[in-house]
Amino acid sequence: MIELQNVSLIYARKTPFERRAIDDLSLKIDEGSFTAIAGHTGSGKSSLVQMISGLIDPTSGKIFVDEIDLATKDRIKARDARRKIGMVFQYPEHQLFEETVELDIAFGAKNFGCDEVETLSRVKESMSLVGLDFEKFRNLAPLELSGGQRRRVAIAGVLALKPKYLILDEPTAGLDPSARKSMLDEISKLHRKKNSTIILISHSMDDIATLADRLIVLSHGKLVGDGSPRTIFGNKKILDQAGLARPRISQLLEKIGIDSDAITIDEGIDAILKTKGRR
Amino acid sequence: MLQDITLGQFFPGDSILHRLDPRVKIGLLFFLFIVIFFTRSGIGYGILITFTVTLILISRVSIRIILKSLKPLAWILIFTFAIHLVSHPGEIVCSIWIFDITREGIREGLILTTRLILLLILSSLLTFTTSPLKLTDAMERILSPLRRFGVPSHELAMMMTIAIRFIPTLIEETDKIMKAQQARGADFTTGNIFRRLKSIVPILVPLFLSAFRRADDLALAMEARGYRGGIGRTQMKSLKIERRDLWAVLIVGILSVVVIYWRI
Repeated sequence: MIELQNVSLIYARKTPFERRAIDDLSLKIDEGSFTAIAGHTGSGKSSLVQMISGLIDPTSGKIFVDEIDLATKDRIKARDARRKIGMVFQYPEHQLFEETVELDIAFGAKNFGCDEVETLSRVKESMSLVGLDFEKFRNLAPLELSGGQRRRVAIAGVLALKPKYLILDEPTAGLDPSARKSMLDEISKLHRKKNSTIILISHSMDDIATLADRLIVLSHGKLVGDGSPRTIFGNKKILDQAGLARPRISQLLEKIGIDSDAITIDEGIDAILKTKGRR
Repeated sequence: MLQDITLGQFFPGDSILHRLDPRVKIGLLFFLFIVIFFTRSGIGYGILITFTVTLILISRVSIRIILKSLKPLAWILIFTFAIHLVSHPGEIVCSIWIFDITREGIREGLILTTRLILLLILSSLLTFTTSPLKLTDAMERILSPLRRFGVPSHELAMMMTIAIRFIPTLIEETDKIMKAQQARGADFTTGNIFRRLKSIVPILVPLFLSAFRRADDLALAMEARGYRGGIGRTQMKSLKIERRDLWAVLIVGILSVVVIYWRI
């Protein structure tokens, strides 16, 4: 379980450029859950997940990963706690640097102290998880790949760390529609098959509605909404406050005059068929 | 840690120093450099220090920021002072171990460190109160007479503008890449010098790649908007010498005459 207690983060403290990115935030994220984080640009989403993964320290408050305080003096303990969290940044393909796909995916695993055999098996496993053929891609240079493939390589590099909690910061940004769809399928597969805990930052309410079982809404560094996507999307006040829209299917149903709490395409079809059948 | 760079930073404001013509500011700064190196007397430095402090007060840049800009060079200042302290023959004030501290040494050391500090503060004041855009604009104008001799003044100024514009972007980019590699277990802070140098590779390669990509995009965007060098290019905000600029020249002129008169 990841737990945040009254966490605040202030950038450029005591200068004219001071900015409060996160303001007194407390929340818990359970194991095996699929949590989505939404909010407008600059609402603190990225700062929040970077603090959870231990890359930036909160100005005040405490963060626990499996009951271990990330700020603990015991460096080994803190390091192990941080290593339970895998972080996929926005445009992760920009961090590739090795000559071949295989070496780049192996980079993190080697840093974590895996031996050759273990590293190789992890590389194979994580490549199959993101749908890349090991033999075909292992010796290619990242620059020879398409944008979508590069992103898969970058994500495989994080999966090779075998994180218990996986954070993805807008993993579909800038991908074409088909690459986007298969990316989302793989994330959902990862959640169901490997039972990983997933935290997903997304601007697409449609994706959140189909994938997540919990939605956290941030606005100006404050928690303004927390609940199932259905509850949040039914609460106009929260959506207006955070500047979010409902999933497109919900908007469509409203426009054609069908009263329903459907938030996914499948639910939408059911709702439409039901209304038609009644006529 | 990358956020602590103050050198060359601009602090927006509306003081008379902010509004002076940047060409005048650069010209006067160079002139003051010469004056500072001419002076050797206490009175001269007294006047110059008073003048500099007055400028700081007028600029409304906080003293803390000024001192922070001196910090990176503190060791050089201390070292210079120490060397002069012991390297001038003359009347011995006291002796420490094999070093003799002389009255002349103290005097020379004080003069040189004061000079350096004044130079640093005055040049910081220039960048603190002048936006990078105005600064490069002024450089272009100052260099433009040299175009006849083949100095590409516009191109130089444009290169500087672009370089300055991309410093924060690259810092941000570096920060992001560092974090991404740290998340993959990269360690930049431990190990011997070779290990540390090797650990920079995962930062440098992506950073260069993205810098080249950005440069490509920028070149395309500039061409798409019809950029073709400095020939015939006009400016939205042309620099113009105002009355306040003439006053500034007059004040610095009088000050210099007085200081040089009492230079010994």
